[in-house]
Amino acid sequence: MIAAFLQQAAAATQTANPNMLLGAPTTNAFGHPASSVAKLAAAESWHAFWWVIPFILLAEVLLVYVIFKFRDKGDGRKPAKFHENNLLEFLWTVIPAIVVVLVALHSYPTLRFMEFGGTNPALNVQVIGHQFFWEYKYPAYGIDISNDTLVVPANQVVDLDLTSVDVIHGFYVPGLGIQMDALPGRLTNLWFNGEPGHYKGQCTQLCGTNHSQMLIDVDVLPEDQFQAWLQKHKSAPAPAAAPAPAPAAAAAAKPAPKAVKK
Amino acid sequence: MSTDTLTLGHAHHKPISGLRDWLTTTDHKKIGIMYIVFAICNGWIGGSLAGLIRLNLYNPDWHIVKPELYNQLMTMHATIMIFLTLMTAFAGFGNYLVPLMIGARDMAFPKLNAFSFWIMIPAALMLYGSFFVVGGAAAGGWWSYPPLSTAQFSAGHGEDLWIMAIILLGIGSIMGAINFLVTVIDMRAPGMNWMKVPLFVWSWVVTAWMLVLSLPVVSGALFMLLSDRWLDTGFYRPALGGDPLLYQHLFWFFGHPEVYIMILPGFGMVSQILPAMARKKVFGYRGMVGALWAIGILGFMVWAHHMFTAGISAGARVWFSMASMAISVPTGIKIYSWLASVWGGVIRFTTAMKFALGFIATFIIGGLTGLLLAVVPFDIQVHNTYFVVAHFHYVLVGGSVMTLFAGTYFWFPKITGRMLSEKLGNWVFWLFFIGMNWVFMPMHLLGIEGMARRVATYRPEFAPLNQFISEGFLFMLAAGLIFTYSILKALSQPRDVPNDPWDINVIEMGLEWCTSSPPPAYNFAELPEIR
Repeated sequence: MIAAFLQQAAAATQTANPNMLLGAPTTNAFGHPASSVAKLAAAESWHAFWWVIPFILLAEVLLVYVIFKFRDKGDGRKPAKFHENNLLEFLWTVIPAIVVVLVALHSYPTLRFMEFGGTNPALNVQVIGHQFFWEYKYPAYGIDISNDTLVVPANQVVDLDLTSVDVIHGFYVPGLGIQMDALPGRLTNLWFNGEPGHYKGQCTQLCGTNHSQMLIDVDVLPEDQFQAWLQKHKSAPAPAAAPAPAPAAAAAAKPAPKAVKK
Repeated sequence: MSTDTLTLGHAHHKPISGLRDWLTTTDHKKIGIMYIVFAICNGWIGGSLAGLIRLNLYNPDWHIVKPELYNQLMTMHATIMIFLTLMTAFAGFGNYLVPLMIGARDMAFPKLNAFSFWIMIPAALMLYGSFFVVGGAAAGGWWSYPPLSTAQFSAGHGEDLWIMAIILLGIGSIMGAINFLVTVIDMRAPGMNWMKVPLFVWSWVVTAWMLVLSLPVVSGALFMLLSDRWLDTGFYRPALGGDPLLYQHLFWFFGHPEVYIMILPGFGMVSQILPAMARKKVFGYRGMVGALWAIGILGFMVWAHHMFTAGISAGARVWFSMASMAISVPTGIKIYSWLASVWGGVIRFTTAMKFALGFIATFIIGGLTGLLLAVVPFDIQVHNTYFVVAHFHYVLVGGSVMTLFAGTYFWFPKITGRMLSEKLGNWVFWLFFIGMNWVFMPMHLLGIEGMARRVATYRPEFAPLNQFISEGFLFMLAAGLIFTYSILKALSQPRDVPNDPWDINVIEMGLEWCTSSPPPAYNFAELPEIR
């Protein structure tokens, strides 16, 4: 069974190749982290994992030991009589408590970076969830695309403001290490700085009948290619003259690129 | 009919029997049995829906069910399993065992007890009936988040029926919980002080408090949702100044304690079974009671860890991360105390014991992934993916369902006076244990690779693992079939079980093992005195 499982797991990894129907492989924060956020998140996860795993292994090993050592062999052995041990109980309360606090404290700087690390964004995009597609607005360039690939420049801070016009959606791109809900009447925010590549994601908040079809594709392009893409998609009128797009009121406060954020 | 038959009731009462007896009984044991039978029936329906879900996900291009029906199946699978199977089964064992274990003749309010059970029937009918109304059953997931669940996006009456059914079930559970609390506080046999109360009873005391404190909140939240749907209020509607995030807070204030409501009675069962089958006393009784309370109290302080990606503030993320991790400390106390309880014992590997030990093995994994999910940077990577599905199925199937199997095999002789086949039980255990791990272990990988939960179809690179998972379902199905057959077979045999078939009272007296199997009406002719 285990062999079959490993085979299947290996097959799943192998089938995720660029020749698949939908193009590039599925990346995620653990297989191929492609942004600072994803790399830090992966490192933080492994840190927590390595702290926790000894306790789990200890318990599982003791369990297996108990099963084989203390089975009734019919030799008339008498069961042990102890049912208390203050020192043991003290230790298995205090040691895990200390470890838990260490793991939690260690994760906070990472969390802080994920929340507030995206200063000086090179690009602001408004991500608007619809049943069942995503709309991307580039206020600085007057670009408004729907049901299409999100295109952003590589290795620069990209700032996303998320909202929704109907129900709650979830914006999730595992390769870039980002996930945030898009709620109607609210503005949520996230940032990332991606390496060049194509990344796939999907809506993660049940949003109705075609929830599973609400896919996300992100193209992170080198600067020159991104500029070329901008030129191709930029709308004719000067963007500065265009009114701040609805529905997010706060979007109006977003200045042109390179401005200091927050 | 002989006139000199000694009855506890009035002599002119004709003894009633058969169907009418079951319909009108206020006997906690009969009500307990009805709860358990009802739970097993619902478990079959909820499990069949899971089978349909796995069949649909076997191949991303099959589309065996339409996506709108898929969302209904997924929603109802969760609702049935949580409210009509797990909670019901634990309520059944609690009803049957708590009065016996504390030396009481019945629950404190027997008629209220019957009402708590019977109110589930209309609720269940509304849930199952909702499949046949226009628009079908509720399809917004068991969280039923607005705005998806508002009239604008879920126009059918399935959502209304779902809301009202959950409110009804909540009323029944609140009354049942109050009944449990009064019974344990007021009706313990003389001499049974709080530190002599069996751990299963303690687990129900904590569970009952959690029910009493959390269910009114979700009932209120659902009334507000119903009001948004029908009275044009705007509690959760942004267009009217409402906020969908309010519902999430209210729902998870109930939703997270609910998880412990579904596992703590299982902890209590295992705490009875492990030492009994190892011929020992339970280790660290005081620590176990303290851990139950710690889990119960901390369980109310962690709800927003379900909302780490919902746009809550950084400070909220910090607090809910720390509080959620803290729960692993009392959980660890329980796991290590269980291990110490069997350490040095003389272990009998009955089916009940196999399930109890198997429970520890799988629950450790569910606990580990739970702690990892409390680490916010990790949670963001896998939130609302199959990793979470794997995590909570390890807790609810590897945890709750395994303890229920263990409890069934352990107390079936007491409840029915008949033994379940140990030979078939061995098959049930291994098929279920292998099948359960086969199905849910690979889901961790799917989630880490980035497959979202609640999807009717998926990108083709996820297909091999999904096929593998669906195949494992057959093992769990086989275990369920053999288990059901085993129960029916046992019931056709004569009653021949002694008071204490597992030789438990040799080590430590359990009151339920002092009386006959099954116990007589009103349990004890003379209240036992505990010394």
